Amino acid sequence: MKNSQLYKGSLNTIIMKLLEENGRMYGYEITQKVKLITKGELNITEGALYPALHKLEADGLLDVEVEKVDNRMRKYYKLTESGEKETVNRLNELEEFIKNMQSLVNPSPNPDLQF
Amino acid sequence: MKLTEKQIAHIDVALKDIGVAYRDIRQEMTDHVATTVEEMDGDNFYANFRHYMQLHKKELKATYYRFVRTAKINALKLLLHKMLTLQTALIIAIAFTVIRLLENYYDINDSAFVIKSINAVIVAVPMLYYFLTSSLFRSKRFSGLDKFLSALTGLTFLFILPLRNEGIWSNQVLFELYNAIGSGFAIAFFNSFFEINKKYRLQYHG
Repeated sequence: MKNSQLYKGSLNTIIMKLLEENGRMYGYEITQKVKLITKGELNITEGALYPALHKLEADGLLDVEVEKVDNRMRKYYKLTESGEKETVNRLNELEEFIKNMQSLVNPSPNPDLQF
Repeated sequence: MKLTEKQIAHIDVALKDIGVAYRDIRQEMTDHVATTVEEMDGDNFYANFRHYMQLHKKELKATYYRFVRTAKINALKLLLHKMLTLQTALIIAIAFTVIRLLENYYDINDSAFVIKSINAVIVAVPMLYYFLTSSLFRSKRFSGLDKFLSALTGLTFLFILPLRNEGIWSNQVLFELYNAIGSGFAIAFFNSFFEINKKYRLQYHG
């Protein structure tokens, strides 16, 4: 994953957001979707993606369906009801975080301190 | 290019050969690798797959170990969750009461022994079940169950250790309570095991 330290904390939220938009997805599809949206800037490795998916599943935020597709078993992930609610919370948190980071990185000039 | 069943089986065997032992993990990794190979240029599956493995073998192994670690952590979290339920508290209370009642007829060690024996049977049932099914059907080895049982074997051993040293139990009530907690642990273990087993059965159709 590009600049993994910066993206690491947001991986679960990215996954949940994609599932919220697309209904159900499988692992490879998620990696490709992220690559497509970020124009190749962000590459989620399977080593990061699958443990995150399994953790979300164990936390009851994702549900799983296994189906035979193209001669093999494919595991699809989708949000549970509590996962949908949690996605909204996490997206709000992420937006707040981005806003705060923008303020820190690119502070607007404080009019009180201007001469 | 869509892969044939024979080509999928080839990927499955190759993953098994590099140490991806568990069926649940291998199926998901097989799908990931197969989809990646399908997206590659050219129609020579074996050349594409060989090239993919040369580049990603190390990464696949690392992913596998992360998969296994996550499965173990998730299973232990489920056990902890089951330990902290009202049902477990009720079982501990019942076991504690039973030990106290038995003490009217037997001495404290014999009373505790009855509870310990029941706990041992409760813990042994899932272990025996898994041992038999995984020995008879090798393909039924699932990461969550396997890692859960190996971690639990260690935890059970640690739990039993203080009970083997009677000298440290100067407080009778604590001794009774510790044995009663053993019942809560055994039931939580039993429930967790069969919940994980059910999940795998539903997902992978046995």
